[in-house]
Amino acid sequence: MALLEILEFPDPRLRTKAKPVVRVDDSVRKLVANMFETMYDAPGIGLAATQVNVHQRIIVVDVSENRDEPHAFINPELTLSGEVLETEEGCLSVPGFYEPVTRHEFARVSALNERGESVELDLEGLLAVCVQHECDHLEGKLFVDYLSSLKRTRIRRKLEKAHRVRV
Amino acid sequence: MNAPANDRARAARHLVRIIVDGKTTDQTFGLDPVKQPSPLCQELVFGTLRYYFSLNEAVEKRLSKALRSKDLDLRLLMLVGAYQLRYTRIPDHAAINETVNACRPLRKPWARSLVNAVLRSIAQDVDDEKTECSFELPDWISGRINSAYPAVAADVMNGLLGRAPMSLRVNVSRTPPAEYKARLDEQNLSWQAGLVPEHIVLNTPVPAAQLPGYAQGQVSIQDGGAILASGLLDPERKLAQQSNCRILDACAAPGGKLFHLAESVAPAELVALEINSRRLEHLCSEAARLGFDSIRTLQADATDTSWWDQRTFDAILLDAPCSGVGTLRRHPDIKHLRKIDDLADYQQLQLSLLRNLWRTLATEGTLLYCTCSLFQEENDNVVQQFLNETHDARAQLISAPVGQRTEHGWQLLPRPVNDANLAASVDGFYYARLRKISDNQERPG
Repeated sequence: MALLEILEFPDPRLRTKAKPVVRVDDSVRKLVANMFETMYDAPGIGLAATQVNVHQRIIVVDVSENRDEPHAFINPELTLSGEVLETEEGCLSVPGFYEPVTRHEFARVSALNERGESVELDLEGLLAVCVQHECDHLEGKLFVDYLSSLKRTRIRRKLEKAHRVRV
Repeated sequence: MNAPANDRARAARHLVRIIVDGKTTDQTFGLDPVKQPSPLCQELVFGTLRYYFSLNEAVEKRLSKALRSKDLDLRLLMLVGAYQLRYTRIPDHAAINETVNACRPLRKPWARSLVNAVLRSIAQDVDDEKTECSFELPDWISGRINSAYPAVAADVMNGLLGRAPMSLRVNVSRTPPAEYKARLDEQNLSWQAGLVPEHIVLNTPVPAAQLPGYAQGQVSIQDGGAILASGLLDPERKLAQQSNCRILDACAAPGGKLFHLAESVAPAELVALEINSRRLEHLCSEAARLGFDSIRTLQADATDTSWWDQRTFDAILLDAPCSGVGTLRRHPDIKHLRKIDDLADYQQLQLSLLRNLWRTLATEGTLLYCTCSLFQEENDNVVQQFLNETHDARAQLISAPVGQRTEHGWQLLPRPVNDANLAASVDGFYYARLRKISDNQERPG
């Protein structure tokens, strides 16, 4: 097990569109385990493979308070329904910023699990929001894309400055 | 995705799990100290539970129509807001603003203006109806306290509403108490002597990690009332001198009393049972911190003997599951979770534990029966019934520096915290010591 490095906005690699996983094998399972470890350590409630610079369609989420309800979705497909609601979102790749984003109230996800079995799950609440957020990453999309360009530019400048200071 | 950042929304979600789903604070926060919610979130949850009844009244009377049942989280959020306005030093405008913002992470942005209006109205009413539900207890609990302790009922109820001081138990197998007190002095932590030499009370609480020697297992956090258990089980220190002494702690988690026995009596063999695997895991990690690798821990049900190797114990500590009403100041969730009917269930469980464990006790052995209840139903009545049906059981006279004698044992009573005498501020424990006499001894009287 190992902690993976999380890419931060505006890193261009976050814009990569991920490719479907062909076979769920041990290397995928190892990646999933490392992604969970990285997510829990952050601490975050969801992480997409894109964020750790692996461009395959894999996401992990756990929105429970006790951090004991992990889900890994491989090649996830979403069907959205319900009203659109606003939630304050933050992202491990955009550390320190929280902004309201509108998402669908309900989502049905079809995907493979770590054992390569097909799973289908109906999601609502924070879990539905989180899975929509992570699936966006696989398309190279970030939650800041939903904000006004003014806000996005401000966030980018602040993070670029923070990165300069760190280096 | 990053975890939501709003502590008010998180507090409201935890409260839903407690008030609606009937979970305990331990269950909703988890036992892992590293993954605990932020201190502010915990403070908001505990504080709202503590003053729930009057806060709820203040909120409800400002709602022109009742909320839909799926909007219970909003009512609890408004209670969290009212708690901040009345009982914290958070400025009103910040409390209102942050609580209104919590509507978003709760995914109910439409409620912002409602939450805002209710909280503003509460903030303006400074001398609102604070006194009406002054003890913040459900009727069945306050009624019972009034009839059981008529002379001191108001004191006891005030004690249950207060906050427990930070009470420490020095690990006497590692550090002499005097030495530990000197280390506290070095760190400028002011303290008061407790009920027994290894008991110390801090005048101002600090996080556990800041206690000298905490990571090295030199000290634990434990209520003064619980620290008395070890001395009540072995008042003349006979067990401590006996070679091959075998002691059982039948309901061991979280393990405070167990570890105190390991530290102060240090028997040749110490066996700990715990039925709940998560609580047992937590107990084992505490054992590791304190360096006790010789305690035999078993995940087992103490109402049967499938775990028992047929070798009797010289002493048994039975810290029985109970309503826990004596610990309300630490666990304000209890007043919302327990119902009057629970008392009969606890009583049955307590009796079946006593009956079963009695078989594993050696002749001339001692069983210390303990609850953190204030109610006779779980205390003297249980002991009375057990004595009636058990010819070789005798209750022994016991006493402690605080509390009062009961028919068969000793009752500690929570009292309002008095800065000059923090040590006397204990949770409401009950203790009875039962001795197993040899069969050929005549029953007196």
